[in-house]
Amino acid sequence: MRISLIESGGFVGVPLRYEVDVSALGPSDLFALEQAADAAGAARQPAPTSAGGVCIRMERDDGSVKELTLSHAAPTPEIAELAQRLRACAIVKERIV
Amino acid sequence: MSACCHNPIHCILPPYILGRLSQSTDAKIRKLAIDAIEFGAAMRAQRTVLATLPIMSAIPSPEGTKNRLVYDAKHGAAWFLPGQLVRAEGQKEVADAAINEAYDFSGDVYDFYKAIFSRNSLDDRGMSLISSVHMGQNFNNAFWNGEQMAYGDGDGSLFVRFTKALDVVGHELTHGVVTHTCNLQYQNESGALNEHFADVMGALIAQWRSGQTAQQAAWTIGAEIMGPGTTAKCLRTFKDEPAYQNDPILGTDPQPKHLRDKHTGSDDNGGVHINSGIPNHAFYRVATDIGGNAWEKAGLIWYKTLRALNQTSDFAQMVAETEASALALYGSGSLEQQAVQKAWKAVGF
Repeated sequence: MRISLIESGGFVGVPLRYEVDVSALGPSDLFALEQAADAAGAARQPAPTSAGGVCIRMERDDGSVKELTLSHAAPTPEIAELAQRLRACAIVKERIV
Repeated sequence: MSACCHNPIHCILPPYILGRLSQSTDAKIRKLAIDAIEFGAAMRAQRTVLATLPIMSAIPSPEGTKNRLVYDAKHGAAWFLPGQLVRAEGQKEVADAAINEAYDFSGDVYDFYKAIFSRNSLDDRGMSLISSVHMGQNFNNAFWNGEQMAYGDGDGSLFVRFTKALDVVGHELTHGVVTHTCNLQYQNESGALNEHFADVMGALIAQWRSGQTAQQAAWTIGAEIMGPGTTAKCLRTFKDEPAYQNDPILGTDPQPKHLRDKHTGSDDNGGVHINSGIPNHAFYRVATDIGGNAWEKAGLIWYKTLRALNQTSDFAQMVAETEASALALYGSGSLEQQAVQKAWKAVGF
């Protein structure tokens, strides 16, 4: 499993990708991510605003990808908390646009 | 803890857990879960409505004048805002620099709009300026969420705390002014104009506060928040040069300064933070061509334009409206009108 956090919008603007140190996450974190991704599967994407937001991107070893998105203008607690947890384990940063 | 969290399971449990708990055999847990689901749905509905009716999200000030409220988010996540009130209008300095900076700089933004454009706060009706500091952990950003400001502390490497710079505060609060004027849609060219106005006013407020003329100003954005882990000296520049090059993290500044180099991809909402470089450079040329204090004439032309545009305005409308504003303010053939025409021509229009 490869997990990255993509922070975009806000003052900084252009998206920055943070690679997450998966080894620093516990089984409960990964379970929560999977559950949240499943629950959010059919959710409508938030409208773009200057506040920007976060995309949690999970790439499994089998190549499948799941993404969770959060708008800072309309944050959902569960994704905000997950992003918060992942930020603490970010190890690599890069601009992606 | 946020004032909204009376129900202990409102705050942290994801919907799938709430769904399970709402079927619990324990009546107390079942009721708490159902309340939490209803609360979450109500919050989402409220935010959806407020996004289309910004006037409803403005918190009025008691006297209809400057009213700053600074909250400490205590490193909580975005949904936790605003946090705990730590400094209200008229209260004295505290020991925390981020709190004092958010208070002082939001006051500077209010004073700038009032003194230069006779605008009473973001909505021109005296709405309160609400700021939350210490948002998140290692949070490398600051944003206006439609109702208030939120500032991260940065990770200490790429960025330091976002309250340090007046242009950051001016930029983000100007998104509030845009919301309450033409409310430019945040995608493609209208989104790039939204970013452009925020950069212009952020820079002008910093220049006004430090008494710099257009010639003296550095014309950069974000210079004071760059951390020791990057070679970039600023995030964006109005000048015809990259803000940074070959940085190990940020790479090379992607902002174009001419229409021929416009970003046409769908990323960044259609390049809103990228293509803003084109009108930004045009504004820089206008301001330095006119000379003197940029907020006095170039700033006034741009503010008049801001109020003349609409949600879907594009670059072509921006060009036409700035020329019309310069004409209306300074007359046909004036130095100011010519400066505007020359600047747009120089960037490809």
